[in-house]
This record gives sequence, structure tokens and C-alpha cells, in this order.
Amino acid sequence: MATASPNPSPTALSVPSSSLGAVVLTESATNHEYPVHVINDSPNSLVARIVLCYWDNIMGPCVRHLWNSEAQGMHVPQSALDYIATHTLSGEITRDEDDPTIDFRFFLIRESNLIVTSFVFGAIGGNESVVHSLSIVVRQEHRQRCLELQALMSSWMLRGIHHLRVYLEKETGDTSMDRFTPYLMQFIQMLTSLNESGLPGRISDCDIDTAFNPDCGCQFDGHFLCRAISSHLISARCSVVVGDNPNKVNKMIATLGLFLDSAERQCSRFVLYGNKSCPYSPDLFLQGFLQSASGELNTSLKDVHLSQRPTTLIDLTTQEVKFSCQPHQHLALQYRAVKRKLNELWTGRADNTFPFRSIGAKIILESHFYLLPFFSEMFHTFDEPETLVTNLFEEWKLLPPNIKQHEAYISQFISGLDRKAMTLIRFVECETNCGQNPLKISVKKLRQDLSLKVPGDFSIVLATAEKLKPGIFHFVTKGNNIDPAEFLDSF
Amino acid sequence: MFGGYTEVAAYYVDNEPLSSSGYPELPLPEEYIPPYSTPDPWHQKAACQEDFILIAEFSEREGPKPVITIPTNCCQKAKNGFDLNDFSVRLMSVDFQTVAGDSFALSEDSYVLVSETKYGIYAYVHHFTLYDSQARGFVRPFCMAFVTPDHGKLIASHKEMASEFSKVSHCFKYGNLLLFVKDMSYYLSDLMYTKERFSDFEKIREKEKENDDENPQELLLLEAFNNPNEDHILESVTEQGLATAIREVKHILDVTTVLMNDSDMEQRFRTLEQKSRSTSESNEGNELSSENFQYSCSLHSESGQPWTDAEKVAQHRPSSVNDLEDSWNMDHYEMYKPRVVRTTNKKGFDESLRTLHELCRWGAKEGLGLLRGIHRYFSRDMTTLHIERRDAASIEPSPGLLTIGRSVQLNFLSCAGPLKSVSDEVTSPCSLVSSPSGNITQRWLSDDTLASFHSAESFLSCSEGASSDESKRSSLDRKLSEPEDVAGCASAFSSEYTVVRPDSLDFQSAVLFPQVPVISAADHITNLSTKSLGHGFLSFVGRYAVTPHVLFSLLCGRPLVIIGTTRKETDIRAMVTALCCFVPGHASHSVCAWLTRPLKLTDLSKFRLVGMGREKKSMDQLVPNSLKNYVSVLNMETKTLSCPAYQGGILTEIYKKRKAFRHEKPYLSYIHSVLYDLSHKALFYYHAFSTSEVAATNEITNSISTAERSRYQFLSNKFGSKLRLADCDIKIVQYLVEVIKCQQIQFLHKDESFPGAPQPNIKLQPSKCTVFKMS
Repeated sequence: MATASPNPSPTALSVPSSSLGAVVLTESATNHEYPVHVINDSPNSLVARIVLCYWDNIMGPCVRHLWNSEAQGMHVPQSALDYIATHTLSGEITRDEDDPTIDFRFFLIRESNLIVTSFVFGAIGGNESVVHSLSIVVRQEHRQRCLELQALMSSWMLRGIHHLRVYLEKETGDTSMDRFTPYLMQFIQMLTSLNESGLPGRISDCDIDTAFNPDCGCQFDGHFLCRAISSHLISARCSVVVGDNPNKVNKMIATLGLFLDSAERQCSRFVLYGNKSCPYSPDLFLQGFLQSASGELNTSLKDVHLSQRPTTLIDLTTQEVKFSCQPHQHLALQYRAVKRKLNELWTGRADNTFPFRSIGAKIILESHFYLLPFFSEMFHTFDEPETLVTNLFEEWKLLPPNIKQHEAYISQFISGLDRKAMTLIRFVECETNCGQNPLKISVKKLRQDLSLKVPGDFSIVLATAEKLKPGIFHFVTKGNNIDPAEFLDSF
Repeated sequence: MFGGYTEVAAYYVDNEPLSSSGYPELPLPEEYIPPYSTPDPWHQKAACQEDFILIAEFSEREGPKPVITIPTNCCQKAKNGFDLNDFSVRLMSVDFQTVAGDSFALSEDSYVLVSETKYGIYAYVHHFTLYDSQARGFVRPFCMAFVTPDHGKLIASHKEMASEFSKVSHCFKYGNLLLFVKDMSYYLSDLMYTKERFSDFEKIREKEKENDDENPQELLLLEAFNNPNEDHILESVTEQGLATAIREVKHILDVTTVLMNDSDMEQRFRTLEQKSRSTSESNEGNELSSENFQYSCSLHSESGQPWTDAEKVAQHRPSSVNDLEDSWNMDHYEMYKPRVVRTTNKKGFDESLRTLHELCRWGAKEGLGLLRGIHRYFSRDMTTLHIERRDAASIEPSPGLLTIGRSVQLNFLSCAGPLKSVSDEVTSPCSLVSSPSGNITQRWLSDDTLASFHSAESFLSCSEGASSDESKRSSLDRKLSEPEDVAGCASAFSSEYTVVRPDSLDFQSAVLFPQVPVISAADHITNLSTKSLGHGFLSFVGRYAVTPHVLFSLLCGRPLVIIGTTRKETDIRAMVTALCCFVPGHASHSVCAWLTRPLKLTDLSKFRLVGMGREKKSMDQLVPNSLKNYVSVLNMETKTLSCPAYQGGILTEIYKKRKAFRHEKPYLSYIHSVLYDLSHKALFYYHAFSTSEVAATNEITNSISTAERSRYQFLSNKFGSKLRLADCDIKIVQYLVEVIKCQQIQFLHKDESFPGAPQPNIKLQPSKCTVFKMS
């Protein structure tokens, strides 16, 4: 069992817009000591501990650093930490330390009732590159929750590990951990926010109305609502809603949440404000923010391109619907954003130079609610015509008011989209022999063949197909464009 | 919309800010920037593009090694230097089943999700331990891994996979337990016998010591060397060693015997044994035939390679799994004759370790069967799995489920709260859900494995009450021969929707609400084969310009009869197969691929699509004149189609798309999508119009005036136009709603608490027919 050293040297780390804090202690295993950050998180935090282990050439698998949740207050025995070190690193003895790939493991420590999600990677340890593992430790009763959030957690951890590798290259051991800790605290804060204000698996289980609830009326302009839903569907169902009224923002979030499946709702949250406010979190499907009276937003959307998906921005005040980029362009822009972020960490200075230049009407320069004016250029107005959502809305208005389960109606609409997407996928598979040959027909012809002549309808179906067959969006659209790799050469 | 990367590239400033002055001299090393990779929707960069299951063992002789793969040749096309042996080492090199303590304890299964990013593959790994009286520590660690290049599949299906692999593990372990307990019981009797013999041996030795003045020790050793018999073994044992071994074995038996309580599993093993015996008897003298070797998976030798015949002989292995099975007797323990055994160093290293089949016996056979099912189920792509899950969620409540061609469309009652039917006051959703008789999915849900859960296989094999052999026969092949008397009904046909009550039919029987298996459209497309419903439709459409009229008859519930001479039986059967994916309803419809007797009125209550044939002379009698107004007839001899003309957009669009789709899979998928859209409109029609007060009153009352009926039709058409439906398309939507209403009525009729519920009716719809020449 590890014990805290008698004279710990607490170091409070401040995190902007966060109620979390961290202090550094030292714990000792059987043969060596390692520093411990104690994180003052909320009792609703999911994570019990985060463990960084590495392969010591003399000692073998060792714990290198520990981030301990104070609120969880859970006793994790040293044997469990040793188990994690051994079981994540022992099988990696033949791994090339310079291998840039990151592998993952997900397992249960039955004796300690712990669920562990580990990521194995090579990074600097001491003076040379050695194999490391970063493990998120969660109590076993959260297993299902952990699985639901697996993709989200993986995305955050992979991004974090890229940061950590830069820190470890640049700084000495302890300093690098101090610099990495705020990222982990944001990660824990993001998970906590989902626990406290996340969408339920079924929208009807929450107290918040939707625009489709016949008892409450729509409250949103029909055209605006259709544009918001369409753009939401096209941007891989990932949206940020902003407004000055929390109830209205939450109502829009709940409405858009109807178009998500249960797992996606687990990675979405209602608006947080006051003491619970939380900064923008990449990779969430839905999140909301409040604007001040002067129109300023209480967060920065600078990291919007770091997200795995493109993002729709819905402004309830101005009734504007914007999107971060076209879905097929997102991958390249995401790569650009990651590279930029890592350069910032490497140089130690923020890069506030916006890489885009104004190109007239395509870029909205006059948006009023961003802290930094150049971020307004990151979003484009959504103006694609479509009929699928508009028709759904029109048909929904025909329903008598006593029909309660609007959630089921939307679910059946989504099933219809799934079938259209399946047709598109099977069509492309047969035409290209499952991607072995390029798609020879144009997007326009494809739209005609699939009876999706309206551009927005095709975009919605293609985005649905992307959800079912990740990568098909790029495959279908790349025939008309230059290859992204060439595009990236310009960076 | 798709301006492209060039457009985005134009957004970028010419001078890259990151390379501007002020940055440190050393740029960020390239290795710290994650590599850019283009999306790979079909996993072409992965080492293995197809999913497979691997069973690996941590052999005490050779270390981790692959044992079985499903399918057999899964890694033949592996790329990037992927090696199954190396992968097995990766999976088994870390022990996830450590059991604390010195004494024997059973280890629980554990699972791990792992990635091999280098190879682009991911695996769900299920670790389990078998027990072997001949192994070190009595344990034989194994793992089963479902390996896939699709990471999302593992996360989305993790819960199901864990559950299914646990079932397989249980089969293996239970079969193994039966053998292990038996082995240990024998070993215990050996030890007890040894103890007895050792006691005698000690007494004799003491006597010899007393009587013999010479060197007795040397004498005994000499005897033992010359004659390696029991005495030699007894020489090596000690009383304490024996007591410890007996105590240990008794403890093992105490721990394991209590687990032998799964009578269901034992019964399944017995069934397998009986089947195996009957098979081996019928195939006597042909033991090495491929039919006898029932596993499609590979069986590896100790070296990890499939056994050659020479190796089998050399190792005195059975030459086939059937040979192994001959020695697996569930009920008869042979009389065991105990022998003297060592308590230490009893392992003979010249003996090879037992294989999985030898360790688990019938459990291996059962478990491998389940594994093949798991592979069939999970190896389908995520699109299919995702859509199938959504479809499975919409099958309850069953009276609200609309199927077309037995393919699940949507549920009319899942969004209605209380059941909205014409008999609204006498039912509740609770009764619908809880009643097992109304549960069409009963057959599915009672299945033990996902293998036959929702799959196309189950669609073809799950007709109610069918035996396993019969179940392989498609329900399309049913022929009718029973005589039925339906004379005198023609006079009732006067109004547009005529109601005839066929009292001569026993609707209380299974005809009313048969448990017809249904499938997901996604699975239908994925597993499309020459036997699948809808196969040949693309060719049908290409050949016949009258397709929209044919489909219209089917989708608005008008029976379609395809007639021809017996020589055209194959063609007619093929046409029925191609068209039957357009027959709505799973509870009341039926399709008959080939009928040789004349059509009868009662047939119209059962059939919506019939293939008929006779000799040319008597062909005209197949459809009596009295019925010709109520059925559409496609005559293969005269090349004519007699049916109501279709004037709408949806079915014409299906016909026009025949040229856009060169392959049947996407074309049928497109058709499923169009049918779903129609069903979705029917859903709105049902809730927003059909169950409204005025509409319900008009529909359930037969005695309404012509004016009222016209008004109803006017309102219906008006509502249809709001749904962007043309006249003929509204009729299709109306019929789909009718199907749901009939299902609800039939369901209520089955419920004994409503004895006064109306009998189901035959609805006949005389329409003005047009004769089309089929080109």
C-alpha cells in the first residue's frame, strides 16, 4: 500500500473556468516513489484514478505518476496499481518505443472491482524513449457508463497523449506532469459535467420539453428549426447551441437530442452556467452556452476543429445556423488544428494568428458573440436547401395533439435515413468493389440515381452513411476534389 | 456543397504563420505529430479485412499458440506481416486470470478489449481456463478472440459479445468439468488404492527387514530396476505425500462437483451424442468422409499446423472428430480399475497434451457450433448490425408491426401511447405487450444464441412448429391440396369493399395469427442469395414494363395470380420469389409459389401472391370467372396482365431506377427505402386521419350511404395530398393501414376476454381492370 509522504509539497494548479484543483503528494511503491496529484473534483466525477506507468529497464513495469480523485475517496491498493502497470506493459516488451501508434486495452481487475481503460504508447522516460501506459481507473459499477463513453474518452486521451509526449520531450519529468495535469482536469471536468447535466438515454425521461412536444408549442420559428436540424444532421449530429435564455437553449438541445441515438445522448449535455459552468469540450455531440447581455459567450470555441466531427453552431438570439466546415473538409482541418496545438505546446506560446483569410460573403465577420473576433471566421452560414426535415416538420404538424410519443416519430424518421444511407453504402460498394476501384460517377449523378436531388437531402443521407460506415463521406466526395494529403502539403 | 479541398485551401494565407519568426530554432520533431491518414471505410489498410474468431492456448510446453480459427483460412490473405502465432503471443502473454491463494480455486472468465493499431485490427478477448488432470497445476489457459478491423463494432457490441462468448465458455467449461471430475475421481481412487498398497508394501518391507540379515535395501532396488512394477512406484511415495495428494484431490472434487448442476447442458450433450451415433451408424465404413468431419474450423496439431494423417497415426490420435466422439459416453462410466500412481513427478513428458475436443468433448462440439453462429452474426458490417438493432426495437407491440415482404418496416403503436384502434375502449398497451400469444418474436427471443437471432437464416428456418429438417424448406414451397367449399359467395360482391364472412374456415387456428418469422431489411440485403426473397426482381423489372401495375396490385392488397403451363413452373416460381418482397403484412398474408388446383374464394383470405400452373388445356379453369374481378392475373402464356392500372409516382420511380442500379443488392436496398417511406406516410395517415373519429365511424360501419362514403374518400384524398401522395399511392397507404387494423382486430379476437369480437373477414375489392400486353 502506498502511503503519502510526511511532508507533501502541495502545489495548487489553477485551471481557467474550472472549479477543480490539484495538489502534489508523493507515494511510494515497494521499491520506488512516484508523485501523486490529488484532484479536487466533484463527487459526480466518474474517474477514480489516472495512472501513468512506464517500462523501467531495471525495475520492469512501474507506476510513474498518479492522479487521484479526492471526491471519489476510493482506496485503490498498490497491488491494483502494480497490476495495471504489469498488465498494460508486460505484453509490450517487444514493442518499438519509437512506434508512433497508440494502442488501447480495456479490462477488469476483479479483485479490486475496477474497470481500466489503458492507452499504450512510446514516450521519453528519463533519457530515452520507453513504453508508457496511461490508464483511466473507474469503479466497476460504472462499467456500462464507461463503455458508453468509451469513444469520447479515447478521443480525449489520444489527444492528451500527444500533448504528454511533447511535454515529456520538452520538460523534465515533474514539470511535464505539472503541465499535463490541467488537461486531465479538464477531461475529468468534462466527464463530471456529463454526469451532472448530461442528456438521458431517452429524451422523454427528462423534464425539458422539445420543439416537437405538442403540449408546449414549438416556440421556434419553423424555418429556423428546420435549418438547425438539417445542419445538425449534416455535421454528424454534433452541435453547439448558444442563447441568452437557458430554458430555450436546453429546449433546442433536447430537440436536437431527439435525432441522436442513446449512446450519442450519453455524450451530450445541457447548458451549464453559474458555478457549474464548463468550457467548450471537443467531441461532445450536444452542448450549450449562455451569452451575456452584451452578446459575449462564456467560453472560447477555439478548439472546435479539434473535435472528431464538424460542428453546427446554432444561435438562438440571432436565429443563425452556421457550421464549422463541410464534413469532407473536416478531417484535414482537424489535422491542421492538432498540429497547430502541438506547436503551441512546443513553443510555449499561443498561436493567435488565424490561418484563414477573409473571402467575402462566405465568412461571417460581424458575429457578435465571440470573445476573439477572428473565431467568427471559423463558422459558415448554413444555407443548403433540403426537403427531408421540412417534410417531417410539415407532417408532424398534421398529427393530432394527443399523440404523446414524438420521440418515437423522430426515431422512425432516423430509421428512414438509415435505410437511405444503407442504399447509398451498398450502391457505392457495388460500384467500386468495396472501395477497391474509385467511384467513377459524379456526386450529381449519384444524387439523381438515389432520388436525392435536393443537395441538403443528399448531404443528410451522406452524413448518416458516414455514421454507419466511417470514411464513406470522404470516399464519395474525394473524386471531385484534390487529395487531402496534397491539400495538407500546403501547411 | 462539395466545393472541395481546393476551396478550403484558398482560405489559407500564403505565408504560414507557424513558420514565422519568433519560434524556437528547433521545430517540433515530426514524430510527435500524429500521422495523417485518409479514411478507410472498407478497412483495406488493415492486416485482415474480414472478421474472424481465434481460439488460442497458453501451452505449458510451447507457450502461446493458435488452436482454432473460424473461418479456417481467415489469415491466408493477411497483409503487413501479420502472423497468427505472434498475435496469439500478444493475446496470451499477459495473464488476466490470476487467482490468489495456494490451494486449487476455479478462476472466473475475464475479458479484455485490445487494439493492434500497427495492423489495424481490434479484438475482444475472452480468457477462460480449462482443467486437465494431466496438466501442470491442473490448468490449461485458453482464450477466444473475436478479431475485427472495425473498432466501433467492438464497442457497440461489447455487451452482446461478452454475453455470447460467456455462453460458449460455459459449454467448453461444462464439458471439460464433466471429464475433469471423472478424471479426478479416478485419480482419487488410484490414490486410495496406492495408499492401501503402500500400507501393505510397508508391512512387507518391515517384515523383510526383520527377517533378512543381508542388505535388503539394495535387494529391493535391484528388484525394482529389473521389474518396474508397482513396488517401484511405491518406493517413491511417502505416507505424507499420499495424504497431501488425497487431501488436495478431495478438495478439488469438493470445489468442482458442486458445479455439475446444469441438467439442460447435459441434456444437450446427450442429444449431440444421439445425433452423432445415428450419423455414424448411417455412415458406417465411411469415417473419413468429409461429411463425417463436422467442424468447419481447423484443428491444429501441437505445432500449430493442421494435423497430417501421418501425425495422427504417429500420435495414435483419432482420425476424425467422429472417432473422438465414439469414446465420449455421457451415461456410462466404464468400470475403472484403480492402479498404483506416483504423487510427485507423475507427468509423462512423452505424452502430448489433450486437444480442446478431448478436454471438452461434447462441450467443444456445442461451443464451436455457437462460435460459428457468433461469427456469422457479428461478422456482418456495422450498417447491418445497427439497422437490425433498430428494427428489433420496433417489433413490439406486435399488432402494430408493419412488415412488407416479411421485412420489418415500422411499428404503428410504438408512438401512440394507448393503443389507437377501432376497439379503443377494450384494450390497453399492457395487454398487448404482456401477452405471449401475440408475440411474434417469441421464436427469436427463445433462441439461445444470436446466430439465429434476426438472421436471414432464421427467416427461412423458423416456420412455426417445423422440425429442423422441415424448417430448411422455404414456406414458399407449401402446396395446397385440401378441398374447401366456398360456393355461393359471389352474390355478396356489390360495394367497393365487400365483406364476406367465411364461416366454413376455422380462423381460430394458426391461420389467424401465425408466428411468422420476420427479418430486418439490412440483413436481407447483406445475406442476399439466390434463395432470398426478392432475388431476380431487377431482372423482372428489366423484362416487364408493366412492373408498376404488378406492384400496385400487390401493395394495395389485391391478390396477384401468375399462371402458366407446368413447363413454366421454374419461371413462375422465380417470379413469385422476386415479387414476394412486396407483399405487405406478416400475420394475414401468404405466398404460394406453386398451386395446381383452381383458385377458390377462401384462398383470397390467405393468399396475396400465387403461382399457378396446369396443362395448357385446363389452364383457363385455374381462375374461375367468379373470381376474376377480384384478382390480378399475370398470364405467362398469353403474355398479358389484367389488373387495375397504376397512376402514381412512387412505383413508376422504382421502375425507372432499374437502369441506375446495375446490381440487385443496392436496388433492393433502394426498394426497402421506398417501402419504408410509404410505411412512414401510412403511419401519419393512421394517426392523423384513419383513427380520427369521422374516419373510424365510416370505416367500421358497413351501412353508410354512398354520399358518406364519397365524402370519406374525398377527405382521405385531401389528407393524402398533404402527404404528397397521388391517388393510387393513397390506396397503397390505405391498405397498409388496413393491414395494421386487421392485425389489431385479429389480436383482440384471439384474446379470450373478448368473446364477442367480430370474426375476421375476407375483403374483396372489385376494380376496373385493364389488360396490359407484357413486352
